[in-house]
Amino acid sequence: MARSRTNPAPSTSTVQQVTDLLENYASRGIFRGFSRGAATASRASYKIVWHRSQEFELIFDVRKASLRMPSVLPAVGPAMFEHLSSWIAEQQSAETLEHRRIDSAKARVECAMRGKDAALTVTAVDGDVEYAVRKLIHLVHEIYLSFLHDGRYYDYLIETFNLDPDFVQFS
Amino acid sequence: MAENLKPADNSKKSESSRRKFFAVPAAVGAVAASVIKPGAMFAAPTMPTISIPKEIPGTLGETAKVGTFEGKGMTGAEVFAKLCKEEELAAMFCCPGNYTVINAIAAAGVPAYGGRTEGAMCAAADGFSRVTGEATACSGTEGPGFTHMIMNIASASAARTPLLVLASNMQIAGDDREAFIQTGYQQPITTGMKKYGKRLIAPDRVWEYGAYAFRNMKSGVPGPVHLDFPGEVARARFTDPSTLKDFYNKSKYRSESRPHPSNKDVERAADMISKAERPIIVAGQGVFQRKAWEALKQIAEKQDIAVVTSGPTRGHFPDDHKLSAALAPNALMSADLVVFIGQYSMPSPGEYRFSPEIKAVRVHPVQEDLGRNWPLDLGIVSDEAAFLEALANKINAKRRDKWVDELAAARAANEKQNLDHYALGLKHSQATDHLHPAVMAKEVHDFLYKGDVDPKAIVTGSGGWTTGLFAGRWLRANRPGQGIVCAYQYGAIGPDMAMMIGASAAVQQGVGPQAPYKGAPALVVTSDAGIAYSMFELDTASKYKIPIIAVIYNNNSWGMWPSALASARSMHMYLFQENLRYDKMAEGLGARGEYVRTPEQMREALKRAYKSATTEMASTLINVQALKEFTSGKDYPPGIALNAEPGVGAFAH
Repeated sequence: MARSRTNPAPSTSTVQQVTDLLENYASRGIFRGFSRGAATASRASYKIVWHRSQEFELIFDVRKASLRMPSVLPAVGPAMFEHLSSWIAEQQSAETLEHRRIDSAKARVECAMRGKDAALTVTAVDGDVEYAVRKLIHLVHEIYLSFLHDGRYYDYLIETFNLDPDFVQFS
Repeated sequence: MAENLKPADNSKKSESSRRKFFAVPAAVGAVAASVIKPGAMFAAPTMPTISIPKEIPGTLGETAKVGTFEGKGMTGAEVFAKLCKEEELAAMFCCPGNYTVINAIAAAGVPAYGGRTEGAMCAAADGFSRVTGEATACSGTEGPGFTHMIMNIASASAARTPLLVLASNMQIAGDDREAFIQTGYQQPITTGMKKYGKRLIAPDRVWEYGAYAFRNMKSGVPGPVHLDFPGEVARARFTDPSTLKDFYNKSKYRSESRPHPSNKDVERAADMISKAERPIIVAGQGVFQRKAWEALKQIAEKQDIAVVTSGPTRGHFPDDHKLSAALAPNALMSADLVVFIGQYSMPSPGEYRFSPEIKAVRVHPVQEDLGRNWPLDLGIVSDEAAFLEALANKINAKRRDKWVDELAAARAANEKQNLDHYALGLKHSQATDHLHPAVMAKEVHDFLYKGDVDPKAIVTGSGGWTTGLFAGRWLRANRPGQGIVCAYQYGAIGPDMAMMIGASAAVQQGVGPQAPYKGAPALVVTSDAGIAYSMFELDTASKYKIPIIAVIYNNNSWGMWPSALASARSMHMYLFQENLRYDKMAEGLGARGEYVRTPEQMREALKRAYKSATTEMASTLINVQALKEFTSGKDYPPGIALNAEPGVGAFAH
C-alpha cells in the first residue's frame, strides 16, 4: 500500500528524528551498542548491537518513510518463516490489545526472506515516522523475548545462537 | 526435631521399602538355592535392617551447654559458638572436620545437622536460609571439605544468602611450610563469592570477627561470610572476658537502623506510579528478607499494581493473587512502569520481558548499586520495608480495571498453553510408555494444589535443565517462602535435593514463615543429572527424619544432549546408562523408592510418599522414567520452551 497522498512526505529532518529516537533506546540500555552509519538526504543507516549480542543493520529510507532490517532472524526455514509471518500478522490484528497493536492505518509491516534470513520493513503510511520506529523496535524485541521462547525453537536457538545453560541469554 | 527421633528397634522389620530392598538378596538366595544340591545349602544369613543408631536421638536430646569463663574457661571455638547462639544462628549443616568449632556450636544449642558431603551440607544451609530469611552456617574441614563446598558457596553468593561458611585451617604455626595436612589459603578461593571473609589469626579477636560476620550477614544486602579457623584460634583458652577484644553484645557491634527514603523520593515514586496506566512491581529477595510482604500486598491492592516476584525465593507475593503477573507472561510487555524493590541481582534491559519503552524506578538499600545494569528514571536508597510503608501512606487508592482484566486474560492464556503442552505430553507418554516432563510436572502440580493436601503447606524447589524448565511452570508459591529457585542465577545443577532437605529442616523446626506448616514435607523436582550431586543426603534426611519427596526425572542423559548432535565423537559424554534405578539407590540409603512410567503410577506414588512423609517422617525418591528424546521439539512437540523472566519458572535475576 502506497503512502497516502494527503500526508506530507517526511523531510530530511526526519533522519535526525529517527537518529534521536534510536539513540534514546541506546542511552536507556535497550541496545547494547549503537552507531550511525553513512547518511544522505534520502537514506540513513544504523548499526545496533542488541539481542543475543547480534549486530542488526537498520536502514531508513526517507522518501519511502520506511525502516528496514535486512536480517532480523538468521537461518530461518520455511516453516519458521510461515509461523513468524502469522505471528507478525497477529500483532496487527484487532484481537491484540490496543496498546500493543500495530495500527495498520499508521504503519505497514512486511516480513520477507532475504537469502536465509528473515527481513522486516515497517513503513510509516501516515508519515508518523516515530510511530514506525517504535513499533519496529517493539516488534524485534518481542520476536526475541516471546516468539523465540516457544518450545519449537529450542533446537534453532542451539543451532543458531549456541544456546546452552552455560551461555543462557534470555534476549 | 529431637522428639521425632526414637532409638532404633532392630528387632522389627518396619517399612515396606526397606523390606523390598532387602528382598533382593533374599531372591538371589532363592535362585541360588535352586541350583545347589539338597543338603549342601546353608540357611541364608539374616540381613540387619537399616536403622538409626540410638546415639543420634540420644545426643540430640541432650541439654545445650554454652561455654563459660569458669574453671577451665572457654575455647576460642566456644567463644565463637556463644556469639552464634546469641545471634540466633538458625542452623548449621556440616560434615565432621573443623571439629572444635562444630562441636562447640552444636553444644551451644544451635540446631546442627551432619551429612555426607560438605558441598551438599552447604546447599542445605542455603536452602534453610532461602525459605526463612535467617542466617545459617555450613562447615567443613580444611582443604578437601572446604573446597568441596565451593560450588554451593558460589550459588549462595549469587542468591545473596546470609550464609556463614566455616572451615578449619590448620595452624598459623604451619603456614607456608607445607605441613601435613590439607593446608591451603582459603580466603583467596572465595574471592568474588562472599560479602566478607577472614582467616582468624589473633585468638583474642575471635569474638570481634564473629561480630564482623554477623554484622555483614544481617546488614544491607546479605551474602556469604567466610571465616577460617586455625587451631591456635579454635583451641585458645579464655578464663577472663577481659582477654577478649571488643567483647560486647550485638546491640553495640551492629545496628538495626535501616535507610529510609526521603519524602521527595517517595512523592516522586507515588506520582510516577499514579500516572502509569499499567505499573508493575518486581518484588525481589529484599522484600522477603525484610519480611515486607504485607506492605507490598497493601500497596498493590490500593492501586491495582501488578506484582511479580524475583530472586531465589518465591511466594512473598502469592501466585494466585489477581494482581500477580507471575503466571501472566504475556502481560509483562504491556507494563509502562516497573518498580524494582529489593532486586539484589539486577538484569539488563532485554533480559526481562518488558517493553523497550518502560520507565524504571529502583529501590535498593545500597546507593552504589543504583543504576547498575538497568538505566533508571528514579533511584531511591531505602530499606525495602521502609519504602513500602512510606509509599503506602503516600499513594491514593486507584482502580485499574483494564490492567486487572489484561492480567487475568494473560493468566488464562498461560494456563491454556500449559494445558496444551500437557495434552501433547500425555499423548507422547501414552505412545511411548514413558513419562513426558509436562505430564510429570502437571501431576506434581495437581497433587500439591488440587488434591487433599493444603496447597500452601509444601515447600517446593526444582532443578535440572529440562526438568527445571517444565517443573518451574507448574510449581506455585502462594505464601512467603513456599518456593525456592534452586538453580537461581548461578545455574548450578545438583544442589537441588540437598537445598530442599535444608528447606524441609526449616519447616520441621517451624522457623519464620514456615511456622504454620511445621511438619509438612518439602518436595523437589530435579533431574537424573542433578541428583548425582546430593543423592547420598537421603541418608541425612532419613537419619534426622527430615521428610523430602524427591521427584527425579530420569531421561538417561544430561539435559543439554542436543548440543552434541552436530559434533563428532561427542554424544557419549552426554549420556548415562539407560534405565538406572535411582529408586533402588534411595532404598539402600534408608529412604523409600518409587518407580513410575505412567500418570496413574505417578499419582499413586505421590500419595504414598506424602503419607509416609507425614506419618513416618520418611523420605521418598520417585524415579520418573522418561526418554531423552522428549527434549526435541521436532520429534516430540512442544519441546523445551524457555520461560519468561520474571515469573514462574524464571531462574535468573
